[in-house]
Amino acid sequence: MTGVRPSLLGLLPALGLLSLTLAMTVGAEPVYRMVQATADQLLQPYLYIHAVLGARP
Amino acid sequence: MSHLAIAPILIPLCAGILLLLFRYLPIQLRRGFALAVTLVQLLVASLLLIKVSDGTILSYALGNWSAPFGIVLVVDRLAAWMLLVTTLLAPFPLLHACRGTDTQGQHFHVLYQLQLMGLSGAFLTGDLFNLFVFFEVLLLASYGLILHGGGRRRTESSLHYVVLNLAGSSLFLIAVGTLYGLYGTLNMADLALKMATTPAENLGPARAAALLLFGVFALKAALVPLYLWLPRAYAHTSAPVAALFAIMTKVGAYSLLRTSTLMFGAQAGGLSWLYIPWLLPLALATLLLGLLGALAARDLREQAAYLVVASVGTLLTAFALPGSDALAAGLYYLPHSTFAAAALFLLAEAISQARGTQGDRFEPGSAMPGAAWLGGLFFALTNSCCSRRRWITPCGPGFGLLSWAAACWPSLPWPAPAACSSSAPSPMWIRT
Repeated sequence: MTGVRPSLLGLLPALGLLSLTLAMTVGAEPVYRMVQATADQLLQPYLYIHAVLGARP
Repeated sequence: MSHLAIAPILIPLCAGILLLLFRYLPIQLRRGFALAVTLVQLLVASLLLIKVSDGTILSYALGNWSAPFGIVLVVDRLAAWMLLVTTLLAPFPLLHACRGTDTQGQHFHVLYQLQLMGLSGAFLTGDLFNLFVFFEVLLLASYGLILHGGGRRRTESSLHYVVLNLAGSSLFLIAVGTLYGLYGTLNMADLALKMATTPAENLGPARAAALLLFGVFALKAALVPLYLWLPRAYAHTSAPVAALFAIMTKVGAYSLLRTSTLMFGAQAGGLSWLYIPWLLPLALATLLLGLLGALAARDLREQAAYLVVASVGTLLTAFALPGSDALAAGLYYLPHSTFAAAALFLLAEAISQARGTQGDRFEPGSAMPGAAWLGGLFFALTNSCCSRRRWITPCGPGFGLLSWAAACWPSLPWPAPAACSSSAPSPMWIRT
């Protein structure tokens, strides 16, 4: 027994998510620059500590 | 002090309460409101990301109690990035749910908003106990969501999820209590400072508490051997919930990354890099087992669930490698794999509806209506899963091992594209 034909509207969320991954691939450079900066920030934990605790020793 | 930092928590909380209060309004109105709220959250997350894009770290003291006495919310690049990924994902499962899933049970939209609140809180908080609280918020909402719609199989497989996470929460509490007993603080920045000078006699208990934390986060992230709850729970829940839960394993990964860089980083003295010797082999094993599971899966949704496991393995492998290049690659891979996995769950439901009685099981059937559309989309999606990795023959029993070898092969430190290289190939053998 065959089921219901999918409507375009029903596939819209999956299409939207697919286009997000495509957008990430096409616009990889700015995204990559940002995640690289994120990684650099993570590896300098004193930045985080300083931001939270202020100028304490 | 900008109040924008607390908006990602307040907006879904207020929206959830409003949706509960006005639950007798027509469903169309509630759907529109819920969708609008997720879009507002996307806007707020984008604003926050722009705000921290010059390297500033926003610290928001709740009730203006200064740290470490009060609870702080901290928005750094990582928190803003995770928020953006969550809010980019959130509208799509919701849109899918608005086509009928949300009326199969009670309070879908309320739980969805509370789930988003828990996720945002977990990413923003700078306090270990507060992290526990937000874990509880997102878990409580997720218990409701995963059981949404009911049914015997769904209840049965979700029960594992509930019981395991309850156990995980208790362990989290024990770890947090031990750390508080040792250091007298639960502010993560303050903990990081104090851990650097842990006296030798306290190193043992501190290690034990830290590794308990590791176990809890590994359970959330579905790391081997704590991943067993995931495939069945994700395969049997409704499609929009499974799609939203693609981000749930990333909360565990985020917590591992946050604690391992902030509290157990290079400066932590006797506790330096405590997680790394555990994380790398377990992540590689997760990758391998996830891929083998995807090969052995009997239906499309189960396969998608195993692909989530494999993507966690890939992600945590990148997080376990030294240097910022591997970390950056992991952070790039994170949204990519989340979106692809979520889309796969949504598409699996459409395919299963189109195939009628065969559902999404891997067995031959008559031609399904709309095969060109569904097949094309599936093809594009699996390609999208693959686009960030080296090409590996997508079929045959050896490809899991091959991909594992590819993951290990480029010797440490890993070049950036290679860390993204071993996500999960999806064998395209569903028959149309």
